[in-house]
Amino acid sequence: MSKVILKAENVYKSFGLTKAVQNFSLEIAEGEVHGLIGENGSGKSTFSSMVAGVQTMDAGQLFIDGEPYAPKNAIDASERGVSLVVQEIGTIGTISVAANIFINKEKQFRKGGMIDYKTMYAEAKKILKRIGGEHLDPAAICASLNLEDRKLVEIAKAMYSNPRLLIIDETSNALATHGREVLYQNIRAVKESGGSVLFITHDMEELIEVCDSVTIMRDGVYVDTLRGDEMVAKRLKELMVGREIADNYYRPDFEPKYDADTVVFRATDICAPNASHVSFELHKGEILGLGGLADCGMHEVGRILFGLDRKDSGRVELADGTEIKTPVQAIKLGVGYLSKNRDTEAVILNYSIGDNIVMPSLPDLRKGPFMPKRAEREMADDWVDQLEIKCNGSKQYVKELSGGNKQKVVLAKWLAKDSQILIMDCPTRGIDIGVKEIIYQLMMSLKEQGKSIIMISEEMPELIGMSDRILVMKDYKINKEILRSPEVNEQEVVQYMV
Amino acid sequence: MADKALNAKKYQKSALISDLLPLGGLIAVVILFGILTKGKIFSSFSLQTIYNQSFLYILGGLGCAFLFAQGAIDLSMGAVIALCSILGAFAANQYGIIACILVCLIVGTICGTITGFIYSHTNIAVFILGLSVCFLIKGTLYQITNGQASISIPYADKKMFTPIWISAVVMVVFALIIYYLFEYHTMGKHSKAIGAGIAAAAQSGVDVTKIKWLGFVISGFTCGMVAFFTMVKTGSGGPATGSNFEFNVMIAMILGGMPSEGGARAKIKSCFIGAILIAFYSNGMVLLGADSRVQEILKGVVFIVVIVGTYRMQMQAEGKKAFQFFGLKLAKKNG
Amino acid sequence: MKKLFSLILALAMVFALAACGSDSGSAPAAAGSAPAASANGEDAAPAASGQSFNIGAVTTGSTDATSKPLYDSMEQAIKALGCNYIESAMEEDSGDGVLNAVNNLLSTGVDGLIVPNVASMYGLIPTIADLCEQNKVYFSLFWTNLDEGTEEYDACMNNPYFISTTCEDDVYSGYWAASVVGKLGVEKICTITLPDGFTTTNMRNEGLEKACKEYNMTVLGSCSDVSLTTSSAGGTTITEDFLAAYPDTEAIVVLGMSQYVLPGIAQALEDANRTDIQVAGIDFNEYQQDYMNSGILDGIIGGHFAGPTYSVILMVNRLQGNPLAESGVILRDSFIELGSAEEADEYATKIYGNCLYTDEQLANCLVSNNPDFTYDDLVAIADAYGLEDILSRTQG
Repeated sequence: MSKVILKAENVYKSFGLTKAVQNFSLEIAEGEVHGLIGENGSGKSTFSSMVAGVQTMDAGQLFIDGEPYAPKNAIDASERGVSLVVQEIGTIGTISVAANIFINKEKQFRKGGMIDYKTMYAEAKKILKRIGGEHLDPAAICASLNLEDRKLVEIAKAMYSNPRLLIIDETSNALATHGREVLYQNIRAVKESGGSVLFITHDMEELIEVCDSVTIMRDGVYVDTLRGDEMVAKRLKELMVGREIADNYYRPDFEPKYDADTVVFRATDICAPNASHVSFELHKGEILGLGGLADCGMHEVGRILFGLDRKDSGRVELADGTEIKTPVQAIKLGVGYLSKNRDTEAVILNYSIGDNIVMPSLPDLRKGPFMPKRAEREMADDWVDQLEIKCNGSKQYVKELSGGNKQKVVLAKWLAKDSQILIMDCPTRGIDIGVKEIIYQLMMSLKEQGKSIIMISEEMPELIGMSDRILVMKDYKINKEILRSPEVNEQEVVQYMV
Repeated sequence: MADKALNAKKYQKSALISDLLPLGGLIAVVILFGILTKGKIFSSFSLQTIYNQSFLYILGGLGCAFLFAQGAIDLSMGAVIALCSILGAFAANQYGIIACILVCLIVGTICGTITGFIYSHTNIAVFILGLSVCFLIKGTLYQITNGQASISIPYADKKMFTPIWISAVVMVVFALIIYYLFEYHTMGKHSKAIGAGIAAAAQSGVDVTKIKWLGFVISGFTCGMVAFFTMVKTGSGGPATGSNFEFNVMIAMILGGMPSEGGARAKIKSCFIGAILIAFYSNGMVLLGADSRVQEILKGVVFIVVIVGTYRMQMQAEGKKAFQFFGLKLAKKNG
Repeated sequence: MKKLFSLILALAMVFALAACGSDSGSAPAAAGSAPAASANGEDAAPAASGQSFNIGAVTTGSTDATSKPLYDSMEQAIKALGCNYIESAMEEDSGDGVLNAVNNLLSTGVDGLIVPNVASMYGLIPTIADLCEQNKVYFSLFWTNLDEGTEEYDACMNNPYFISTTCEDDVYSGYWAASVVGKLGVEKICTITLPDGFTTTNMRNEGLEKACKEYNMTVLGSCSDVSLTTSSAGGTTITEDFLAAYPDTEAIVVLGMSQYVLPGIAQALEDANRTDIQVAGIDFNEYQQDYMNSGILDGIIGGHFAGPTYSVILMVNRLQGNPLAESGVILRDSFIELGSAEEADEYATKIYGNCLYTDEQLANCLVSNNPDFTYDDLVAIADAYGLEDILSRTQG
């Protein structure tokens, strides 16, 4: 029986009334890459953050190599050999690569009260080479690097201490092919050195390929652990959601279906730092996909369409010629925007669900000089019910909701306003299968109601699965228009992106 | 389904409790000092003094409510009040008391409009802007008064406005207007949204520029009102009038339960609770014979305790430890 | 956590009470009526055969050489006459600050009130007069000139609770200060004055002109900027500006607030190597003895103001039912003039920190002790006031 590195016994954690983790137990052995999977709200991130020392447990025990382990913060964790690589940005942008790698370990470079940067950079170079990031300059300021490189820096920091337990929390989302290779390399390195890895991801294929075993969580509790050949995508999905999921949850049809004669929205010759002569028309009842590599400019185009960012030239207008220049105008004219930065832009976290939902509709609810509170509450409750948002009433603050439910609030906002045109940027990012399905169904019903959607997405299957037309962008230009058909596949689309 | 309703009720109840705490604090202070001063604090003279002292800060708080909800603050208030009082005093001596009122209000509103324009159309941090305007105005004050430290207004005129009922009516009317705008009009809701999440607010249809600007216009107008009533109280206007006003208003608001970052928890009643609490506290201390220097120290201590206490409460509610590791962004804690 | 706040508040209260328990004489035992016998050294003073009262003073909050002696003398006088001294400092130098202090005293329950004139106060006088009348509290002013025909004058004189105001002869002080340098043969001077528009300022300027005519002096430049004249750093700035703009100046005359600007002036003159410039001033400063001895300062006139003491005498007599005058009075009190290093030394060693009048001398001014005492007697005492007068009376 190989040695157990991490042992968790009956762990509990609640946030106010929300029970995030309940009576959860887990064992990870030496040399094991152990996956942790579950829907949003299942408790997997909460659990991993407790192991990493970032949150405290309410009850339960943790052991590392058989010794009791109760980290008060990430520094404690690091001293016991537990390192964490996170989903969002885990490096400090204003300081250098080397400074980030050696954060809290600067003492070793201190010479007579000052930090010896030369040695620090040399050490940094060493560890960067080891983990596969030799192209990085230790003196570079992290804010100047792209997301993938910053993630590499974080990996270097985590690997520097030769961790016993490396926790990877949904990191692969932020990485492209090269980055993921580096990640897998380092996972192998930890395995070979006798350590173990706790790997959290949504990507089913990746999970099956990389992990030796996987534990499924649902609603904060332990469901099951599958090992080796038992790890099959369909089975995993079922255990995650608690019910059977169809393999394909996108549109059932394969033909473009929209009113090609009625244009509702038009972008003409948009030029901006990240957009070069972008033009297109959106038709009634159409789902227009906009895709490309991460930096192709599609996200920026979305912002310009809604009036959030300035353009150098060009025109954004409704079909009847009314120009759209600011978000306030856009909303009044029936356009809605769902930002890809859900927490910071699409929804106000420190604000109630109800207030978020009614905000664009406030002018419509007004009766004379008054804004009756009852009308607001009714509208909010109504949409909470319709979209089945899991919450403790519409007065609860959005920040306490899971990712999927937050996105439901964002959608409710525009549904309540009855916006005719929706610009959705990465609508299902970081959302689990169950809610994804619901969102796609919603998009279809909006389409049938005659509403139009511009969907900006980095997820190929989603683009192909849902769009009537796909506009592929490359280097800030629209490179190719692809109509929906059963023959469209990923390889074909990708070639227009690179 | 029933469980969800129960949870919702529980949630609302806990929110209600934390909402009522400042009021509870006020009642506690009133009772405490009532007992300690053997009821002397409730004498008519004492209550009048408390009213007179808190009145100006209540007005100021009401005027600042929108800016506070946005998470901003008008640091130029003191200087604007001084400016209004000087120009108003000139007007009072030349053209009478009605002219004085008009001048105060107009000058204040103009200052607010200009400052608000700069704030809403540029990226300048509100602190820096407020301080800069403050220095700018203060620098010119002595030029305007030709070196005089104060300008008196005709006594008979100002006596007309001293009766309590006048200031009370003004306060109540103003409070009602502000309350309406805050709770039943987009001005208040949008201000709170800006305070809670400005990027998301902008994307939800809030005209951020307009709301920021209006916040300062209202604040400026209020400075004019405060200037006038200060002159009624002291009989003169000058460069020292209203000094430190903005800080005292801020302290009163925060003690009254207004969160320093604004947002959803901003409430109008904070204006009242904080100002009255401080006035009660100050007068109570005087009646008990405390040295004024000791009073100042204690005020500072109490304030820090309240701020730290509120911060810890907030952190506990979010399930976070009070001090994070270098501000690393966490993986979503509910996933 | 806010409950904890209330608890801490209560604890803080206890500390405050403990703290002020040891504060000598600045707190009433229980607010209001029954006067408690003050702890310090009452036995030597002849007991007042009349009642004892609470007399409140609004203090400037500073303990510099101009304020401290004044309030100490006032306190001593009040106690010598068998009354309780209560003070309240103004938080800031503005109308509001004074008003708050007055309100504090009225809340505490005083029978009489003594208030100084601060730059912004003239508009406040009628308000204070009203407040005192409403609360049936007698009041006196000091450092305050009341001119006939002004609102302040009417407000006070027509008020039955107004006791007195004391002020110094500011034409004289201006004249004296300027004469100090005039006598040294100086012809070109720069002046630092109080803010424009005040009676005090005008009177001192009048005195200045008289001296200039007599000693054939011209004023090259002048500064009245309150933001500069109220700090030592400001004094430095003013001096540097003078030296730059009028390098042929021979003297600087400070017509008020030397307690603030003098060190700054001295520093600036030293730094610029212009110690040849003569300096004279109004209002005492901590370091004047040093400056007089080193020659930087040639003469200084100021107080150890006895005006408030006279008002106290008038007030207590009135409270005891033996008013010395039928209505409010304007009383002249005098400055102390120090024209030489020796005089400065004498003042510093023998008078500063000591009393102006002995307890006996003070008690003698109460009609209840001395039925022959009249208002004219008081005026005579005030007129006689001066360096020699004090020395002879108190040093025996």
